[in-house]
Amino acid sequence: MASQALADLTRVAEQALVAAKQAGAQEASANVTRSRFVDVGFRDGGLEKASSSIRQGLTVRLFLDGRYALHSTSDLRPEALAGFMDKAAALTRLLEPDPQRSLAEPARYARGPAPDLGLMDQTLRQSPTALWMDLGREMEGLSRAAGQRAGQLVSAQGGSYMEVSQDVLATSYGFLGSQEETGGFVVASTVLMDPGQGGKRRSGHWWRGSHRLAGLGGGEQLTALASTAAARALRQMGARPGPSGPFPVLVENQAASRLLGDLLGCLSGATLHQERSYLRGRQGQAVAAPLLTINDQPLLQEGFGSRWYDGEGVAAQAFNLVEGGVLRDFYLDTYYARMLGLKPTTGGHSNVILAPSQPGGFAEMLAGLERGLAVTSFLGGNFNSTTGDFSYGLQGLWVEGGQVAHAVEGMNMAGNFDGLWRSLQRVGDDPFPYTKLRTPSLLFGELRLSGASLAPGASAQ
Amino acid sequence: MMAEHGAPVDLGRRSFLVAATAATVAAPVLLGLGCQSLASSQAAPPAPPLEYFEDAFGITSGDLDRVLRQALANGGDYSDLYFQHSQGTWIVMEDGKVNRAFTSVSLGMGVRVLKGEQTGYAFSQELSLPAMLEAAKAAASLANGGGQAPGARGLEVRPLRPRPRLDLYPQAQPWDQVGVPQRLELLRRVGGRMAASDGRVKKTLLQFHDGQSRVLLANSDGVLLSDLRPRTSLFASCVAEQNGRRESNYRDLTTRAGLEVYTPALLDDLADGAVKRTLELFEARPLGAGEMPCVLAPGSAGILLHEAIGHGLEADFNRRRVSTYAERLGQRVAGEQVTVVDDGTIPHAHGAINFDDEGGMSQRTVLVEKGVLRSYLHDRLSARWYKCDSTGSGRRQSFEYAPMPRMRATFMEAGPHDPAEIIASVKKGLYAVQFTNGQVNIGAGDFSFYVKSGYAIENGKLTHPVKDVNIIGNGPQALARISMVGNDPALATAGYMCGKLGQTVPVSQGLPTTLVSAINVGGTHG
Repeated sequence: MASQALADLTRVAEQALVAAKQAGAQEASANVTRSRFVDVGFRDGGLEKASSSIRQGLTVRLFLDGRYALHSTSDLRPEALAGFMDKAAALTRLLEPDPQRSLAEPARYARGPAPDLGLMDQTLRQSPTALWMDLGREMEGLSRAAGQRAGQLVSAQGGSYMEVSQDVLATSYGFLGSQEETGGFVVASTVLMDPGQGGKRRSGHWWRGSHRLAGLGGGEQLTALASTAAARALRQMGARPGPSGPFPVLVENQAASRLLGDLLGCLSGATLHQERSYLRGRQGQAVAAPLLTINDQPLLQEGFGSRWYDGEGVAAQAFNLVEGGVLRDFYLDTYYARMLGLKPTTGGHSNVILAPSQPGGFAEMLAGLERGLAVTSFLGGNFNSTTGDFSYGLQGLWVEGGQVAHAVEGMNMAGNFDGLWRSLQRVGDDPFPYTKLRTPSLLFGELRLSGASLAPGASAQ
Repeated sequence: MMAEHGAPVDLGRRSFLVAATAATVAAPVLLGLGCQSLASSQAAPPAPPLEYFEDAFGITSGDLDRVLRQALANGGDYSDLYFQHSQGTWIVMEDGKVNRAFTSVSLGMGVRVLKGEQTGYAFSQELSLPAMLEAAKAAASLANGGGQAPGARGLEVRPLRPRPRLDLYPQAQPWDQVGVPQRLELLRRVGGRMAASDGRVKKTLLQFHDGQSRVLLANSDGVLLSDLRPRTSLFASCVAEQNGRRESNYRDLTTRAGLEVYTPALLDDLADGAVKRTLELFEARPLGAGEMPCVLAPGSAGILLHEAIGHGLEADFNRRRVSTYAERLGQRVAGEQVTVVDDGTIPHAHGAINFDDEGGMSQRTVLVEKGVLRSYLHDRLSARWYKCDSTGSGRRQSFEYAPMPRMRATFMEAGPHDPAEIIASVKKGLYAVQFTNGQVNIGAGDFSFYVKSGYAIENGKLTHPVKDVNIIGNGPQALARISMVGNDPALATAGYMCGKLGQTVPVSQGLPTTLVSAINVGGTHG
């Protein structure tokens, strides 16, 4: 069902293409986006902050006399558009030619009608602000109750967020695509005092989201969500570093997105072309344990990264990045595919899915861990894509005999991605469903952990 | 932290800091970090604040008054309007070719309404009076929990009056009057020098950015202020290859200034620095992992303060008692040598502000004095709660957001020690030079920051380079372990972007050479 908003955006995109042509561009694309949101946060029994607005913007890519530039503006007044385009074209003319730049081949364009990916819910779209205000208030109440049950409550937060968004993409080769989405989120956050830890607070938060209002669940699910937030704060009580040395490391699903995100960065065209990826030139080679298969799946029903066309208008298509541990493909748009002499795929990720290696998620994997670390979140750290070296700060749980021995903080883990992904022992069946990177829990072989002290004579504990 | 799909994942009580351009930092430049009072010497006479928005968009003081009245028509006790017109240009030179550019224009105004401790916020990208009144109405209703206050009567809006402000970032000419060829000239000089520097340099990537933001602020106390905030950065990076091994590194400058800041000497220094830092990584050897003494080089190591104490002193976290520093004013939190300052008045600093984003005067705020906690960083809301004055720390990312307490330029004052003496005192440890990013967990006080490059210290001497190690510690504990502070204070020339609850603002940081007696260093060798 095409909305008025969509019709308005389409007109802006078409006007932008006309203006681009008048400004001298031989090829151009225009992407117009608009979103209406409501963002509500309650804390400790009262409203803390509520905001609501509409945000829109236009981004044009200009291909002009063999030159390329990208320009964006939030000022969509028709009288501002011509001036914006003239300035954009003038800047583009001053660059050096880059003959490999062009729009995608029209043969690769997505063709309508748009498939129903389950991204749009009329009930959510028409929901009044008051509904989200009430939902935020309810989440805070549940969060506070869960925090009080846990004890030592310092502060409880609850919130809600809704967004209705439209995206229109038009190119001068005749592609015109649009996508409308709704999304709703609820969140709970709890801060507890850690007795005997000198004023340290332990915080836990949890959230869920859905394209559908009904997908957020009712009282039972919301209560469970608030309990999860409080439980995550509670389980960090008394955290301290674990021993130093090489140990197996289990990474909880939500935290694992950090590792997957850094890996995907090494598969991007720009990184490869700049020779800043340790995976450059390794297509067809084993780069991970055979149980690793990573799939990009844009047409997933109700996925948070679902789309039927990509940023260039190219038809969305699932493909494997890594298959049985072997590197199969990169994220390559038209330009970087040409620069690297490879077949284009798509410029950026949609829903990323890891095939589970066996049944069981975080809890089952933890129960099977004889002695090691379960990472529940990363804190800082970084990754060198050129060499594959990483060093991350972390928080989590120390595990002995399949049981949590104590909570962990103040530890680092370090190594190289080559070794890390080759040491992968198990991929869980518990993908975190509320983001584009649907990472499951991952179990790795021995990684170098540094804990409290390595002073000579200090025992490792 | 990843925030996808606009989801409210930022409620996790964490904040992070990243280098300003892609992944950035630069060596320190010595800036006098003494106790200079800029307020008197650099105060500019009140400019006619409406000039720009009136000329360009027809906004009159009558409009501001009407919108403020509408904002307060639903029981609110304070309101501010924040207008912003921003333009930015990014130009990329890859392997000697300037073949990519990006420009961005952002225009809009935000309305904030406070009702007690409740905040309602709405913005409009359209500056027509009906659109602004609509935003004011929405903000007023949201501040009131979504409803209409029964019998609410609008509070009085005081007559708007231009106020004096500082003038910390004068430019020879605004960036929108600088020609593209002048910008390209800078890139060609740096790119050419890098390419000619060493046969091992295989790839070069330069990113030049300039931007300016015109801001107009009006609030129901009658404050009317305007500003032109420039920002520019040049990021120089390269990939080098030696015996089949590849390394990359970078050097950058970020500042609130005009084109004139890029002197030939500075450009050459950026080029040479990027190459030197990259080639040096071929000499890097692993460092034993674990707890060890760490000497922080002057300048960007101020990241320690930013993460270990800065965020924890933002008053919103303390008002809600969620910071590990809550209810600790007047208490000892560090040794005698440690004095920590957050200063918004350092000329041309990345974190400099002529006034904050709710009309508070920019100032120098002593947070920790000789080890004793003296002040939090306050915005209007927290100052009201604590019954004190705002420290001028209410900042926002853009017109789309309500302000909250934020750092500006955070640094440690000079201590008594000679830097060489500090290094010589360490038997075995890390000398940390270049930092890319950090993160803190406010409640527990645990923080982390990443050392891109540094040196091993063995028997009081710098021996081999080290790279890519993460440091993790606890704020109060790390401050207590600062055992020596150098006499060489410096502010980082690299600009950092600080993220908090979904909003990113430019900040600066600095530190003299400092010894932390023990801290956990990550690494692959035990």
